[in-house]
Amino acid sequence: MAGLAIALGLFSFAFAIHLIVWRSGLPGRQTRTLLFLFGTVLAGGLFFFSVRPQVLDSIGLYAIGPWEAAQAAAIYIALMLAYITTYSALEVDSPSLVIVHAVFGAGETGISREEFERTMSAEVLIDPRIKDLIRDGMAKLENGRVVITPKGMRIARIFDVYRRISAIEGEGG
Amino acid sequence: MAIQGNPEVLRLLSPVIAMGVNVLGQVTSKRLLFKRVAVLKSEAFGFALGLAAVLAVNWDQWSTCCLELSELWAGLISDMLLYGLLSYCYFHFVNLSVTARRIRILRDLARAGADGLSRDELIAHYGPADIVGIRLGRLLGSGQIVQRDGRYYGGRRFPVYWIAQAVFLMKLLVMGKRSEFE
Repeated sequence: MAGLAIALGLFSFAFAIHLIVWRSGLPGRQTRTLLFLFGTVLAGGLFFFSVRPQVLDSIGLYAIGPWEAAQAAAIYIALMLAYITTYSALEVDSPSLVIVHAVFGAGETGISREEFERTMSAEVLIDPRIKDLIRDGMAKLENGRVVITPKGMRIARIFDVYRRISAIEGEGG
Repeated sequence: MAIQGNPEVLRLLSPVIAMGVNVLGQVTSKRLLFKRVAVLKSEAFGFALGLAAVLAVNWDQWSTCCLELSELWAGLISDMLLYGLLSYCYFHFVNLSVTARRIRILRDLARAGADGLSRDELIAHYGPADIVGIRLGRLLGSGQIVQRDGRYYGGRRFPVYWIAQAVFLMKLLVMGKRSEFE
């Protein structure tokens, strides 16, 4: 359980730093910054606990061996990946969640499809996502046209292969 | 049957092995059992198989090795947490492949090749009406919203309504705003 306790402690520390940094100002490359921040805390934390085992003694945990350190790292990395995966839902507005929020908010009045299409335009639903792809190097603008980059092609292929293997029908989206 | 090998290595690898079982189970069941239904059923099936693998490895370790009962529980909690977190990440990957706008746009761009697409062409392939229509269809199909006389009303609150509330709260906590457009 020492590995679990260390992982949870380090993750909580990293999350607190993340909140402080984000409230000071959103970084440009948010996912990349998250990976750097959480990765640094993990590396620093494991190094600290390996050279200062008396810190663990003072909080009632015994000094950890390499397997427990590996377990702590594995749990921390899984927590980090799970959070960064969730973060994509925080970074952008999910149309499904916006629809559900609006429908329940409308109560007995309800909402028509036309009202959705009026507020959920291409400027809201498409343009920001194209900008994201360009910002992340997966697409570029050439002569007013959006062109995929080699990085974008690799990502697209991964999902194409997965959809084919899983026999997922339809175009998706 | 005893699983041979270093118990500590097995303990560390068991959630990863279970993820392999999960992914294989999900993909195979989608192709063979859940062909025409939403991918969610295959994800639940794969998750259950992987969970059984975690339990099987822990049981084998306990019954053939020298673990105390307290060590078994500690190991089981860690393994199930790790497996749960990895499964959550995989669930999101599957979700991205089915529903994400960026991935759909990227796949359309990949098909267009070196010529790319103009903004109008992108919208013609996959526009706001498609995005709203697909999502309304999914939400109606799962009963999260209902339709009466051409208007939409709230249906079952679990789980999407509560997920929406949680996400809005997290946005406020982390970003200090409810929407990317604020």
